[in-house]
Amino acid sequence: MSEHQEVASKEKYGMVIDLDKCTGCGACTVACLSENNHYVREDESDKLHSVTWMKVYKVTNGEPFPNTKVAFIPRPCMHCDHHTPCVSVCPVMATDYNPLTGIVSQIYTRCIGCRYCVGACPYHARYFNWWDPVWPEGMHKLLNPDMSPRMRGVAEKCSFCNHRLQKAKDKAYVEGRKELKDGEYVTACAEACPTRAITFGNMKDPESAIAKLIKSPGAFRLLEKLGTQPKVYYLSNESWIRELGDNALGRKKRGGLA
Amino acid sequence: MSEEHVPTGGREGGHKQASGGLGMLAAGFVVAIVVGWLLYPAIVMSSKPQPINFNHKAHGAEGAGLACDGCHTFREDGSFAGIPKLDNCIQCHESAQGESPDEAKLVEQYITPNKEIPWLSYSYQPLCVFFSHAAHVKMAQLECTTCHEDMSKSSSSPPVKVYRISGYSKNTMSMEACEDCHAQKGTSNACFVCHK
Amino acid sequence: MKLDRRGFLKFAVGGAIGTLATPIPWDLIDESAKFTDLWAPEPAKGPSSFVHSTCRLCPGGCGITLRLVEDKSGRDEWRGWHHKEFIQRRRLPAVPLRAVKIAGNPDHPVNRGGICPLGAAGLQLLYGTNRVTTPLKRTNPRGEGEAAWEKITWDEALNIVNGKLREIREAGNPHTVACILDNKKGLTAELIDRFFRAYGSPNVITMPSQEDVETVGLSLMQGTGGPLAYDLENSKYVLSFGAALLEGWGAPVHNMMVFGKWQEANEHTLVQIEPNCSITASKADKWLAVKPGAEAALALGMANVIVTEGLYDRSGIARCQGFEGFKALLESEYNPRKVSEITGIPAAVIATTARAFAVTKPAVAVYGRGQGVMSGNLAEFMSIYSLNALVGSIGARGGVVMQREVPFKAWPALATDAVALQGLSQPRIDGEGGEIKHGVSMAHNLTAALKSGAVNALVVHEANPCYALPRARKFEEAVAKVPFVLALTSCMNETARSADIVLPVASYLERLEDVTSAARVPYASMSLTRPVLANVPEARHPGDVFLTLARAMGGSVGSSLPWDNFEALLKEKVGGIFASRRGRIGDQEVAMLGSSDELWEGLNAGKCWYEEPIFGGGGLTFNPQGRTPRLEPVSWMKASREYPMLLVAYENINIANRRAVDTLPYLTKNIDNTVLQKHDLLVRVNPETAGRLRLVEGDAATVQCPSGRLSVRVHMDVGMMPDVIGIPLGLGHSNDDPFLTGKGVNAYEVLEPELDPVTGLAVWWGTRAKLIKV
Repeated sequence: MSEHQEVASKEKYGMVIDLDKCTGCGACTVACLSENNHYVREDESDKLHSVTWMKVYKVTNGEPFPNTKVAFIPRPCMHCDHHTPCVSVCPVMATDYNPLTGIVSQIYTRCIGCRYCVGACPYHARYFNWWDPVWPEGMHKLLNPDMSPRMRGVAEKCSFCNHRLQKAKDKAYVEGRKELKDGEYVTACAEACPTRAITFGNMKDPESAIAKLIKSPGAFRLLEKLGTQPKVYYLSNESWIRELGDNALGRKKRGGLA
Repeated sequence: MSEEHVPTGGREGGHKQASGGLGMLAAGFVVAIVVGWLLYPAIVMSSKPQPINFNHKAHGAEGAGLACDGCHTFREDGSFAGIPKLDNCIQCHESAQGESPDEAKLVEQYITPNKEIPWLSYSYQPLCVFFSHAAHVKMAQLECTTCHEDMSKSSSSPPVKVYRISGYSKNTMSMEACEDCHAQKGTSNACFVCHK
Repeated sequence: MKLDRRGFLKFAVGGAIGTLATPIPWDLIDESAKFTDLWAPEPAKGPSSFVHSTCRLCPGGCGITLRLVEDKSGRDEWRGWHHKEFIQRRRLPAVPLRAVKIAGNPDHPVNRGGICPLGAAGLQLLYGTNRVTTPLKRTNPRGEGEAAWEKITWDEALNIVNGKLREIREAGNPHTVACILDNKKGLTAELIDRFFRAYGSPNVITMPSQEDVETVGLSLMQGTGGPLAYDLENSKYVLSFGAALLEGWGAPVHNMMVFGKWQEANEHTLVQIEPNCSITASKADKWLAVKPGAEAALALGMANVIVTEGLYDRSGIARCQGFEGFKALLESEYNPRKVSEITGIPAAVIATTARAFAVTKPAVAVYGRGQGVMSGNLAEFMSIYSLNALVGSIGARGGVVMQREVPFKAWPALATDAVALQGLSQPRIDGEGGEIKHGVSMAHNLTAALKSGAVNALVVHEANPCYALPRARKFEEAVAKVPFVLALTSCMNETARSADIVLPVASYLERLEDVTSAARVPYASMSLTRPVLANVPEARHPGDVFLTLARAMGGSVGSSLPWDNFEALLKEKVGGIFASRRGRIGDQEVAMLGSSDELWEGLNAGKCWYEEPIFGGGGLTFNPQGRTPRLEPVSWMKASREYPMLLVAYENINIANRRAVDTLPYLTKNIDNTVLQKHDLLVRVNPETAGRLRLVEGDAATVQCPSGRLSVRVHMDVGMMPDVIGIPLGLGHSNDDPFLTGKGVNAYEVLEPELDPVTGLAVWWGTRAKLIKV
């Protein structure tokens, strides 16, 4: 599946994250954990064992004190539009690119756990579930019925809260509408963000907020040179952040993960 | 068949044996068919009776005149309520209307103590599946009977058959059936159309 | 018929062929695949509903929306396979009503839909494994090993508490009962305070906070106690002296929302003044890396520029007193060159920042350290607050305002009998009171007070002093000496573990309570937490607990607290808002409402009452009572051969520090691995400093302080000021929470309070230290 079939769809969902607004608080991460039924292990302070679909990376410009600056790059799944690396390598079609919405799926009941996709993803957006999901006594009550928890031995990743799209569509259908209004379908992270740094919406709808934002002069995507055409855009007026976004390591002496 | 332990090298013996062998082959085949079609389903599936033997016929067009969506409703948020709640029953059965023992059971065991009826679902979809009734009924205008049995003709509620291994209901629609219909109608078969 | 080998094989082959024509093989392949679905649990389905409430996990008071899932079908739909019970399918009971999500309420004026990580994780408190589920009585003596508990009924528990309190009161010693609260905001806290005053104890003491030093400063300079609020949304130039504006100071989500708007409008300037490169400093337009403790000098140096260049607001200054003396002080002691030496900021930068601050209108100077728990000294507050007076920002739009009080119906007069009056005439055990220390917390003196035997009974309500008071372990030892200790809490914590009786109180999602005036937000506000569901049925509203105790006690206590339950009290109090005809609820003016019930219904539907501030006023005394705000360096500022470095505490929005709840499991996922790795806390050190000490990233080290030592690891952070060690507050818990216990170390244990030379208040955001490679 190297090239996605172009279909006449009026929808293509994407996300814009304004890094100048992001304060790295992690409300997006918690909203995602809660929305998508993540279990929590007792040793979550060991980051090698931690699954976080929406991970907030802290980066620094690397300048010595007192010219140091830090910034945060929230990293959901990029839902790559072109040569989607994980889709290309999956041997069992447990992940596919939905030409109607542009969303890249992950089907846990189909996944065989080979982890080829985890290795293929240039954004580290995919995680492997090493353990049985366990909720302590009583904690299972907070599980979201719209989202399936994952079993041991499968790869998992951000779905752009696809279940929220399904629900929003249902509501529209019952009201006799076929198309969604801007803002009817947003991801849990965008909904939570206290600085309103995350904008989510239909990039093909010229009236949507996101369609305007992705044309901003400060817009960029991560590792654009790979040609994966991520549907997650970032905004920043800081050139050092934009440079980091395209992995300027080697060209630049300083800066990187804090 | 052969009565001797002495090996019979001749054609006759061989022929005799072969015909007897074919019989064994056929017997094995028949036994397998019987086991596979009659015994196996009884072993692999458990059968659970519904709490009340609901009479769809008496409520439908030939009885009280209710349409399917009289009880099986959509909620405002677009989700499908599926199995009706006790409130639906109370609207008509505050007290018993007829002589039926099932109605008496309904009033006595559920309506009077105001306890929900633990109905069992025939078409329970597993947790990885998102099935949109709205898309099929409201948008595609499909009849209920396209996928469900026409219950309006049935005067009793058969027990629910559930696979012991997977917990799936016997009536759970398979992914192949969904895909075939989607392919025929030109609807997308992308994973995230139906999975969650 | 006899079966020979060949016949049998043929039978088997026939059987095998036959089987292929039956569902058996195909079905079993299918089944074995579907069976793996069960390895993940299946949440029960049901209709969703949404309920508005208010978060009270921090002083921010955000509006929240809870998503509830109802399942009254009686079916058990929690299906799942637990590998430890491989054969048995795990079926847990269906839950009739459960909460699955907390999001921000877009209609609430404080947060307008946003939420912070702690607020979003609130359900892990509700359903947490660390909840206290029934009243508990300790069965082994305190101070001797791990606590052993016996479950008792509420009647038994309240009888014991009532008996103890009665006994002490009858002996004429009501003032030997002390109560520790986190803060005195809201009706529950006021009710508890009233309970103890009617009982005869003046000793209701809050945990220390920045507001204490503000209260003293404001009463000296303006004759009012605050609380201060900042109109950040309308301010064009914000000079923040260390306030963690984007990391949990004040109302965290409100501030972040304002920051988002600033970034869009592009006409606001934020200048952050603090030693290390915090997130707020990074996000600010300008960061001035001031030497720790030199903030007051920097403020006065800026004041010097504004005064000598004549940039101050002349009409505003005309309303102030003591300006001439202040001016003389600035000219003689705080010229930019000298200030530059003290603060480490170049004189030219001080001058340009001061000028920009003075000419940009409106501008505001914000006093603060971190989230508002740590306090500085009085001189620091007064110097910074004076800047606001110089540029005419006190009481101005876009400046600093006094938050108005919520016009609740006033409490009726307190009934006090002879015992109560006698008890109330005693001084407070922490040394609060007198001319300028009225109404502040001197909780740092509690350790000594408890050790001296001045306290016969200690009541701790929703606070964790055994963890979060400076030199926490010393306080815990002192608590062991108190004859009777009662803790009211929803989760087991270090303090509850040191108690004789633990009473389970309902969490904020299980009780009806007012959340008054989000911290530092310019308008007054009030919305309710609502009893959405009762996950711990035994847990009670703390207000109801004290009302029950008051009834049992009778006398002046009973007649001072005559309400049947907290709801009745709250409803009566809300009547006062209606009668005042002030403010709005949602988009409606209170003055337009027909009855108090209408207001009550609106509040119970999750709407927020709020009222704009009154702008104006703005006069203050620069040089109150001769106590010139002058720099008073505290001892740890001085170089010492033994302790050449400075340990500075910082707060992280994902580490719940002295909030109503400890760090929840989701937040532990969020804590960066440069802060916490497995069980090790990482302190931040400048690479240059680390290099000098031959430390590399991840090295184990000991932080040695005058009052103790901590075992840590080292994270090299280029944003740290050389010779400063940054340590996060809020880790190193020793309660029995498997997600939290034993992770990191508790910085409170080594933070030694210095005493403010004027007020005697604790100044405790840092301490002298030495970093030793292990």
